[in-house]
This record gives sequence, structure tokens and C-alpha cells, in this order.
Amino acid sequence: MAQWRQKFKRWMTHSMELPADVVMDLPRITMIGHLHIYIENHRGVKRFSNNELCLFLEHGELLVAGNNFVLKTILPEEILLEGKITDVRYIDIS
Amino acid sequence: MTKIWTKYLRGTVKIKVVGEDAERFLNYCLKNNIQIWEIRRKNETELELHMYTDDALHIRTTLRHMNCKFVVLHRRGAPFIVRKMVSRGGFVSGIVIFFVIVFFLSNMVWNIEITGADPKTEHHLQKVIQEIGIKKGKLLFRLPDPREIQYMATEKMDEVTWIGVTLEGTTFHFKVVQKELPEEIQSTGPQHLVAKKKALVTDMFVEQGQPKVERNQFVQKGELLVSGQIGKDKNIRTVSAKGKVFGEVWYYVQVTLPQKTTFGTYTGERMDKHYLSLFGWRVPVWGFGDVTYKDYEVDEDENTFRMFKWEVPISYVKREIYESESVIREYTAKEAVKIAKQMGDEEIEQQMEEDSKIISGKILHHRIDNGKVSVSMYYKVIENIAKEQPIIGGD
Repeated sequence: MAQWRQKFKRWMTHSMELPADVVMDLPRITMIGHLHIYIENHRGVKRFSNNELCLFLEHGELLVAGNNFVLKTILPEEILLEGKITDVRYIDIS
Repeated sequence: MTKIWTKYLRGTVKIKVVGEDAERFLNYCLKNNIQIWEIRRKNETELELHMYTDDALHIRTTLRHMNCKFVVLHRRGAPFIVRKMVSRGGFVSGIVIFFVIVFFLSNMVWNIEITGADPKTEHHLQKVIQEIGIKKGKLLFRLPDPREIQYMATEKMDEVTWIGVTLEGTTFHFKVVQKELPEEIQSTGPQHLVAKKKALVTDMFVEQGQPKVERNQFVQKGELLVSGQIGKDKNIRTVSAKGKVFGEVWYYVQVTLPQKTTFGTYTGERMDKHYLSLFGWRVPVWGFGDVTYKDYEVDEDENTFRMFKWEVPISYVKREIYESESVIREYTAKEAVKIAKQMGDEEIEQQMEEDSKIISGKILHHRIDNGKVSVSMYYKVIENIAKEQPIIGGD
């Protein structure tokens, strides 16, 4: 059933040209060079340290690596991270 | 995500959260809508972050459940400044008192300068100014504005033509233009006296000269009344004829008066409203409530406050509201004629010189049309008809 719904949503984004992040609860990630990363639609912080930020997503996790990390702002749905970003990676996408 | 400057008003703290699982605390904040920003990881167990003061007070117990502690590193914002100000009340009130004093001193008359007047006039002007209420140490906003002062002072001083009043900072400048009284021209030159207008001579006083007319004689304009040449034949001397010749002169006056007039008067009822104007926005200070009068007129007076020599955008506004009513005055034909006659009398009196006298006034005829009464009157006036006429090339 869940899988069917996923498929339906994917089809909707394809055929109706709706933004995928809205329809499918995906994160929207905006990066400004390696200085800022702005992540919308996250589901909480798993781990945060000077050189690593690990966020929960609807499906899976997002890992941002780098150094001198500062969480500039953190709101229920969005996060602004500042620092030198070297790596952005998805983990465990089902 | 914009920077909210109201952050400063609410008061913020920078805290250090010490605990094994500080991320749980972050997620707790996210769930409960607690705003946090600038989060930094110091080491494995410590997290530094900023948050609002009032939020920080609520999270203490929750943190204890999560086996975390928190230490406040520093405090920022208005609430802390206020607290500090309260604890140093003397200092703060000193500053406030300083500004209040400067404010009042800036709004005081410090100097009155008078230029262009001779000592006597200056003394008189000083008295007049004092009567109006301008003295050293008076508050400026309780005085009328310079234009009004100018008007009042000019009204009260007879010996000046014009007084310019300017307010520069805390100094009143009075610039006086004195009346140049013309020196009386002593007409010592030889002259005749001639008739100013057509008249019937009634009386004459001749100081010097040869009278050429008699009483009850009818004279035309320009006719010789008193000759400046006296003596006969070869002994003719030319003198300056002086004297007064009174003659009966006739005036024709026409007055038109509407029978019905509407005009506004004040009933005597008034109310005052006081405002403090901040950047053009008026805050009522005294005199609340709506104006209950049906018809009224408003007189507004605005005084701007000053700080040092600048005007601050704060001013004191006084509105005087006078109740007015319109009165319809209606005359009957008879009354109208009577009033018109009075008006005619007044008009004649205004035209006349000092030593003239009305001997009779008669209504020739009156006519009423379109609600207007026009009255023609005929006046007999006795006045001085003599006019000097120099003798040119007198031999």
C-alpha cells in the first residue's frame, strides 16, 4: 500500500510538474558554495559536532561533513548551517 | 530566517549545555518551538547556543531529565539593561535629570536684544515686552509666537513704525524702526489763505493778513479769503497770512444697507484642548471628549520645543474651540432708515477735521428695493475752509 502511494506520488510529480519536495516530503537543500547549507523539510538532528551534522529525513538520513560548523538557525522544518562544507551525503534511503 | 531585531528587546542568553546527549535537547527545542541559534559544538559534551531568556527559564527541568546541565555564559538585551539601570538608579536618574535640565534651559528666554531704538523708546519697549510676559527665564513654549508678539508690541507702541521680532535660539531680537516724526514746517514764507472748497463763510479768525471776505459771503473753491498783502498803494507789505476761516459746507452722503444680514457671533462658550505633537502625531494631553457645539471655530496655537539650538519634533499644541452661532438681523424699513442715518453721521464724522461741527443732517430721500435700503443724506457742516497758498515771486 505504502509503496503504491509512493509510486502514485512520483507519477504525479512527473505528469503534473509539481515540485517534488512538496509532494513527496523530500528535503530541499540549498548550498552557497561551501559556506552555507540550508536544509528544509528535515525531521530533527541526530548528531551535531564541529565537523559533522547528521539529520533525520522522512526517508533516511542526511550527513553533512566539513569543519568549523555553526548552526546559525534551527527551526522545526529548516536548518541553516555555516562552516566549511566538504561533503553532503544520503544514508539509508529505503 | 531574517534577523529579528526584536530579539534584543526580549533579551537573549548564551548558554552552555553540558551533557552526553545534547542532540536530544536540540530536537526537544525543535518540537516545542523554542528558538535557538548559533549553535556551536565545543567538545564532545558541551554545546554552546543562544536562546531567549524566557525560554531558558523553562528548559531547566527538561534538561535535568535529559541528564544535562546548563550554564549561562552571558546575557544580552533590553531586560538586562533595564535591570542594570534599576540597580544603578542614581546614575540613570542623573542622566535623565541632566537632559530634563538641558531641555528646560533650551526652552527658556535667556536674552532680550533691542536694536534700532533710542534709549527712551527702548525703555518703553522693555516695559511693553515685560507686560506681554517676556522675561529672562520664561519658558518659550508658554509665550506667544514671535509673530503675535510682534503684533502686540507694535499695537502698544505708538512711537514706532515697525517692530521685527525674531527668536534665535534662546534670544529674542527686537528690531525697531522708529517713526520719523516730520518736523513741523513753519510756513514763514509769504502766503495767502484761499478757500478749500465751495462754502458759505460763517466765522473767521484772522491772525495776520487782510481779510477779503465777509460773513455770510458765498465763496468758490480757490477764492482768496485772507490776503497776504497788507497796506495800500506803495506801502504794500507781503506777510504770511494766518488764521481760520469757517464756512458752511454741504456734503452729500449715500448709504446702502441690507435689511436682512446674517453674521456669526461667539456665544462665549469655549473649550480648550491640549496636545503634545510627536512627529506630527497628536497625543491629547488635556481636554478630552468631542466637541459638543454645533457650530464652532478653532484657534490653534503651536509651540515647538527645542533642544540646545535645534527644534525637536515635539511640540505643544493648544486648540481653543469657540462656540459660534449665526444671528440673523432684520430691520423694518423705518429702523433701516434710522440705522442708515447713523451710519451716514459716522461716515461724515470720520471725514471731518478736528474743529469741524455738524449742524444739520437731513434725509433727502430713501428707497427700498431688493431688501436693500438706500438713503441719501445731506449734511451741513461748519469747518475750516482756509488753505495756505504761497505767494510766488511776491513783490
